[in-house]
Amino acid sequence: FFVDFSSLPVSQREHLRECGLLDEDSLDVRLLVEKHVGYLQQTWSSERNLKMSFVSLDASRPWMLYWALHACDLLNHTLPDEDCQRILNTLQACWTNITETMGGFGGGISQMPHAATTYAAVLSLCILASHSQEKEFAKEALQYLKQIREPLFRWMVTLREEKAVKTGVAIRMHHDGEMDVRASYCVVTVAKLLGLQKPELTNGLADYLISCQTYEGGFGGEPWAEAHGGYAFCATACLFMLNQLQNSNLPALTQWLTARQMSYEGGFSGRSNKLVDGCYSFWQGGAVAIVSAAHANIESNHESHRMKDGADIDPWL
Amino acid sequence: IELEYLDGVLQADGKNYHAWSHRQCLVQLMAAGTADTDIWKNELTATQKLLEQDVRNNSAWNHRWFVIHQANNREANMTAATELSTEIDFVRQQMQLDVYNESSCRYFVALLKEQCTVNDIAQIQLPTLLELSEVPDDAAAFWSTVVDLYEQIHDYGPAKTLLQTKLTKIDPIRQNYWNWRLQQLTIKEEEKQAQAQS
Repeated sequence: FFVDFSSLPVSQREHLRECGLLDEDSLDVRLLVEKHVGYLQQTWSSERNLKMSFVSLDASRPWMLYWALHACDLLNHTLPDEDCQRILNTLQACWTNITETMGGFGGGISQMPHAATTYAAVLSLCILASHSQEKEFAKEALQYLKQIREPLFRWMVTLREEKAVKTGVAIRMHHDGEMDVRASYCVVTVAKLLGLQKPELTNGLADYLISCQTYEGGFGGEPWAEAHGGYAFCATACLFMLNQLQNSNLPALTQWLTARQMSYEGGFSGRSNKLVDGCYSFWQGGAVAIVSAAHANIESNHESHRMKDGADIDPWL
Repeated sequence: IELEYLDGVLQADGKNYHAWSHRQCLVQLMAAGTADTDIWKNELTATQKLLEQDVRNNSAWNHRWFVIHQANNREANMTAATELSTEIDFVRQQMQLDVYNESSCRYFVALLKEQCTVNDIAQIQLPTLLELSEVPDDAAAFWSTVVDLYEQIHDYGPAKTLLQTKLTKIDPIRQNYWNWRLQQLTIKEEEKQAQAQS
């Protein structure tokens, strides 16, 4: 399946170089950064627009922006200041107040607050705010995050569900919405970034997450659901942020994760006896990275490391 | 009627995550309203039908685990749907159909580890499993099951041998993992010897 480039005929190697996929002087594979950026531009630029079919993602506008911002961040590509400002404006427009004291981000203007779009919006704002504070949009983004943290906290607490679950406390994706491990992950990530990881919000979450671990070792979306890569990532990452991953069945999780790598393609499948998919390179690959860190924590018994993960960072409240 | 509808959906798309989630929700609701245990027996039959069509349908296996545990707690309470020995025999049969099948093998290990004593596994279950005829050397799912069961009964020697002679060789993509298991087993072996001496 994988070809050793040194065994390729010269003409084929030259062709790969012409396409920009292979380095001029070595046999290193190159990432087509400019093309990726051009593709991502659709989400924010007036030069290139999304196709009509993207109307189906009208309730996911913070997601589009997050995917683009995060990808550019990873590709080391900076957007023009004006574009960053426009993105900031759109994100702010996705904020909805539920009451005077609480609110969250929905998928678009006047849409009701939702855990996933809040996750995407907050992460996007963090990327913007992490630019030089000499830039107007970066300063404004940081200011805005400080402003919304308390109303966000109040709203996230109202997503907690204790009565309808057998073990621990679940989080709903939105008021009256579904409960599954994605919601816990979205909420705890936002909380951790904004220094809001308090027991009032996080109490009982770990017990619920652990109850979602299946006999296979992975995690399902809810108790008894099938072990699945997307949910495995959310549960693993969330438990790690709560400093509770070591209380799950770590050997079983480790085995399930390694079994998800397909020997033919090299990538990961999402579930047993299902096909490989690029997205699982993130969900499963990411979970592997976190589990490795957890194993390292256990083996080195780093007390100071655990303190950092578990302590409530509370600089502003 | 809703269950019949779901049957139709699952015939078309046997692994649809949302359909299964809906089914589990529904079954729990239905079961909560009655002392009747038929629903659990029926669900077990439903999974069996799907497994007859595709013994590798992991969603069906997962649903079976849910059914035999009656979604109540982590301990099996199998008198409603089936007996433990019946279930173990069923799973072993399925394993024999395809010894490369990760779904049936993982289910088998988990069931035994949860439900059987170390003695049970050592005296009965593991020997019975090893009687399965002509299992190819490269059936990683099967041999990793055997490793796990040897580990469960604290018989580390054979487990290590299997890892060294089979799994590290036939499943090279997981070589690092199998070597890590070897290390872990060696640690357990040393602890066991230390305990025996003291």
